[in-house]
Amino acid sequence: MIIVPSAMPLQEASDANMVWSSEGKENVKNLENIFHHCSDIVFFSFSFQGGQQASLIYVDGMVDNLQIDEHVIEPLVTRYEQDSEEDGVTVESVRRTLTAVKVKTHTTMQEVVELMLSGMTILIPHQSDTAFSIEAIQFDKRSVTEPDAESVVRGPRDGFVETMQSNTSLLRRRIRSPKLKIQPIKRGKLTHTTINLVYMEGLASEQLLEEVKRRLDNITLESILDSGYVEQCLEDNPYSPFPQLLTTERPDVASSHLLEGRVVILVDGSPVALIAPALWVSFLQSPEDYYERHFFGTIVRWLRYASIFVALLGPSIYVAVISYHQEMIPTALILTMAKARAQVPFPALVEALLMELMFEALREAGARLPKQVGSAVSIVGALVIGQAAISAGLVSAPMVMVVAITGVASFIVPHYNLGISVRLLRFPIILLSGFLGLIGTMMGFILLVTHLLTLKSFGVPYLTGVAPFRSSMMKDILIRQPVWVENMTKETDQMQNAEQSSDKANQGNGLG
Amino acid sequence: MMRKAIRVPCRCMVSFGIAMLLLTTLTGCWDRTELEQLSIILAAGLDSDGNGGVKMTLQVFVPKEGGGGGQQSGSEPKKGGEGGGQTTVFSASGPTLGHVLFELQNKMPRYIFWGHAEVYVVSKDLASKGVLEHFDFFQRFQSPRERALIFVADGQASEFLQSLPQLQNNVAELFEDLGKSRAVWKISLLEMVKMLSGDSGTAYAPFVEWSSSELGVQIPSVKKLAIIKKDRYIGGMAGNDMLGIMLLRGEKRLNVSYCEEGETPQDCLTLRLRQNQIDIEPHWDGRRLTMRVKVFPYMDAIQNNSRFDVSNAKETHQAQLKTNQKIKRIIEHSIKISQEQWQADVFGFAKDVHRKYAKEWNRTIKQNWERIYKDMDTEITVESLIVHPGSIREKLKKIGER
Repeated sequence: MIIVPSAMPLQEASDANMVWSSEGKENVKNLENIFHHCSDIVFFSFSFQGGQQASLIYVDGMVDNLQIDEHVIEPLVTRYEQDSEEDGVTVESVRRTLTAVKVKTHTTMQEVVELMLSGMTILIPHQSDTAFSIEAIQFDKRSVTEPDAESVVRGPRDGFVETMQSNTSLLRRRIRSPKLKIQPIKRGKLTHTTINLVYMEGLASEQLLEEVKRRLDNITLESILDSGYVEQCLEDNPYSPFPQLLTTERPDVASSHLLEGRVVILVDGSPVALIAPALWVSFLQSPEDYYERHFFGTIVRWLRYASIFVALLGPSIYVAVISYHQEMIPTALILTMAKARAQVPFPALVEALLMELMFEALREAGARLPKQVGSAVSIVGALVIGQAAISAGLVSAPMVMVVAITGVASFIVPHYNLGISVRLLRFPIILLSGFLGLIGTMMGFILLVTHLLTLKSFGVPYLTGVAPFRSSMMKDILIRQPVWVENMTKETDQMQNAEQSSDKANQGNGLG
Repeated sequence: MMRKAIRVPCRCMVSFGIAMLLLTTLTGCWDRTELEQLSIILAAGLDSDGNGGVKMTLQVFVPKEGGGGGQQSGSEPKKGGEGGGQTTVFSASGPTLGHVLFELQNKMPRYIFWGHAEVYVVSKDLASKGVLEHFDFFQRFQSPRERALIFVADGQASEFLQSLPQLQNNVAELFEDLGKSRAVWKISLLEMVKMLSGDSGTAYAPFVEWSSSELGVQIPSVKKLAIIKKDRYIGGMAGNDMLGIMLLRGEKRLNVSYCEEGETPQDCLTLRLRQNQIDIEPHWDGRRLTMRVKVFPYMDAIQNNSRFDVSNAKETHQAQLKTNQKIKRIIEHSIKISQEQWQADVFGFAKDVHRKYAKEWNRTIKQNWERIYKDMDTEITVESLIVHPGSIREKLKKIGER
């Protein structure tokens, strides 16, 4: 989606109208000017019991009409009593009459506009210099469902949604502690998107918090439509192929990272939460590792370590070995391979690139296609990467196997965004292997490892645990330590906090 | 601050991209050889060509579907035949192997790839004229494997390469399987060269010959060990003499039968060697060499028709004593044959002597090793142990007699 920058930011759009006048009637007029051609903004005028005129301004579809009727209009129209002999409307008398819970007063145009756009109902008595904002928000939102992209067999089935309030409540329901802090920041010159910085006080380090806040403050985007926008602004190295923030749609994952002293960034309008700092090992951990028994977790974790190498190097090693180092393949295997390759017109390198590109195309097509035609992709896919391709004489059977194995291996990575980078990095390494053999493969691999070693996420080395080596983290890298061994306190120095052990509230929810 | 961070990786990316583009100009260069450009050699056979030269036969894998020459039925009582199921042979001759290789490459449409040649078969004729001059090629040239197995063939090596095995896909596999089946048959080129250049200067290799199977087919099989002394094939040791070499080389899974003398061969106790410890202690008194060999075979009973009840400790002991004698006789005879008939130290005793009497070895023994070996005395002690009496206790024969 391309965001066309509008000609003028909001503030400049109607400078003349942005002035707050002491006359309520004037203010309503100004607002009408600001919102001309906005058919969804409702200006509703009515009079109090005493005959005073007032305007109710709200965005259609974001306000609970019943509540406004019951707690604003009805009391004002039937029970309003002027407490002084003066002509104007006093703040106190209005406040007394309103039965709504959340009522605030405002005296700047800026505030009023912003609040109204975020769903508040604005009440402006014509004879007052004050505006009232009443919170009676109700708009259509998606219900909390299981995130499709991060499903688990065992574990909670709720996921973040597009609404900020639902998301913060999902976190608060898991961590019932006053130490869970949620700080809002508004970013996006046009969209005025709320970004919530969520962290555990005392667990998250001060420097980390300051750094995150500093980077969030530096965001100068016109619009923020998804947490992806924020993610790209927060990264340490925007040119790295590796994701430097962990993303999740699962509140349980977010909570577990919060309890490990990390910071969660929620963006209004996006069901994807960002977690900082992200470590390489966290990308290879699935919440289910912790929910299932620890043997299972350990084995699955090692399966992932193995498969990320396969996903990255599988086709490259195949290409290198088959075009340079034929003596490395067991005799029985190379004889079958030679037989299979006898009909193939392309060199192994071209064959590998062709098949990998086809596989990526299929994956992309599968992700973009409407659900109704989704099954067509799998049918075509089976033909392209399968028996038909072999009998057409375009590719050899071992190549199909390599591509299939690589494909499966790349989908084992539990975090999709790391899977993408691994899948993309395959291609340069295949090229290198095709030109230089195993030397090329190793060159590519060493280049990647070197890059990973220099990479940092919010000042924390990306490979923390492995390099720099942390023996305390090994119990969560080499094995998945049983949860009863240590009360879930994990790694990094920030977490060596005495308060946590005394905090009973954490223990109940401390999975992760 | 933001700007600065952007510029540096940008240059890296550009230079990386240029490097990748430059690499594309390298295709076809360097040493990239696709699998389909190779002719994969599975085995090589060396024969003497009749006028002082050498003839090399290469068994080449045929990658195209259906194989070369079609499948041959195994029941034809024929040696060789027209190529294997999926292999074919090329051969050429010349004064040296290096020369022959050049000839062969000219004959063959694809590049000769030695990486999977795991068997070298040397004919008896060529071997009796000397092998080291040919092994120099295999060792010096980088492509052939030095871990390939060596077989000495009775007759023409090329005939063996052309035969069709019954179990395996090609002859190379058959030879590999033969090599794997016994430790003393698994002699690689490297090991052979090591043995020949070692203290004893004597090597052995499996001697493969044609034998007719029950179906009437001629199949290659190993029945004896070829002795190669000072790079020449001098003869073979078969039967119990080969068993002696196997015993002293620590071979496992051997069957040794002890039979009552004078009685029917049914009264035998057959034992299977599970583990074999050998302790060789040379003794040199300045003039004569005495070889003290202690053998500790651990054996399982696999068939028992003898009078001994091997589940009974006392009788087992009796049986062990008898077995000791039997094994001792086998080893003694084996050593004696090697001393008298071949004057070749097949057992590698020279190494043990060298190790114990290093000074004397260099001063006197080395020069006269052949003579000393011939006059060498042996003291052989066998202490066998029947560790496993088998799955049944009583002899079935006894039940039948009752």
